[in-house]
Amino acid sequence: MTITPKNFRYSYIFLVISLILFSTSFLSYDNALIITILFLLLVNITCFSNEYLVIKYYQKNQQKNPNKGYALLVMIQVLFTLLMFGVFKFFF
Amino acid sequence: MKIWKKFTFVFMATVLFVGIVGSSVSAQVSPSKKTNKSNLTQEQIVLLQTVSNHLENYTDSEGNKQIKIVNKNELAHKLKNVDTSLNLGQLQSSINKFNRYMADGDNVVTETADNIAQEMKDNMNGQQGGVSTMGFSCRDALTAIGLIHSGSYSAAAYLLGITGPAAVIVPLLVSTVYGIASIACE
Repeated sequence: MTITPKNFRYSYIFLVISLILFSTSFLSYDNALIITILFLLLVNITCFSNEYLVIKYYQKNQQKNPNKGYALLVMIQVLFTLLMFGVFKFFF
Repeated sequence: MKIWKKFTFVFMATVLFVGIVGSSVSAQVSPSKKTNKSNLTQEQIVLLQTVSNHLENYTDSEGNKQIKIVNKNELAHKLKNVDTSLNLGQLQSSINKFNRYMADGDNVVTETADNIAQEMKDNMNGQQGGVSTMGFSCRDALTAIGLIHSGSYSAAAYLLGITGPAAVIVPLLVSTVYGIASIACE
């Protein structure tokens, strides 16, 4: 039961979406590049590690349906991303 | 359980659509937060131009550079039209101070430094024994969020029975990013 990079389907989609949506959000700030990189790094590390936890959990519990876990992952990830975006916009 | 699959797909598609449309709209609508390098508002720029158009420099009998206001009535009228609390009297007072400094430079600097030192000393005495208020800075916020975030990974890994390098590396990586972000705080 090994986890390969191919398993992280949602994280790759999220990476592309976050790059499209947030790559220009901090351009007006003083340290635009650093803030953008930090924000994208944070939300994407979170996404990959959350998906890793979901994959591990459903590998251990194969009788359970992973779709429910993925739906929860998507919602939590979107909420976290918006929260972090708010924090970065407010504090930087 | 196909309903979860459909729900996830619809949710992601909605988020993507709203995000793409929203980001382009907000980029047009929201004013740039920190691009105004001079930090001056439009009213301040107008005020600056109005005042500078009515100033003239000259050299007095002792050879000191001085400034004077020309067309005082016109300037007073213009200042009334500009949305500012500055009036001609205040401007004249500032110019007098400037002229005094230019004419009697070193003595004025020493006098002002003494006044500031005395004022600071008085303030320090007044504050002794007082309670300072706690501020919640960007650094504090990111430290708190980073602590909760990386801690929650350790807790999740423990609850799911996940061991190995991932359980150690992920919380470390997350807290490192928060650490760098708190350094980048203003």
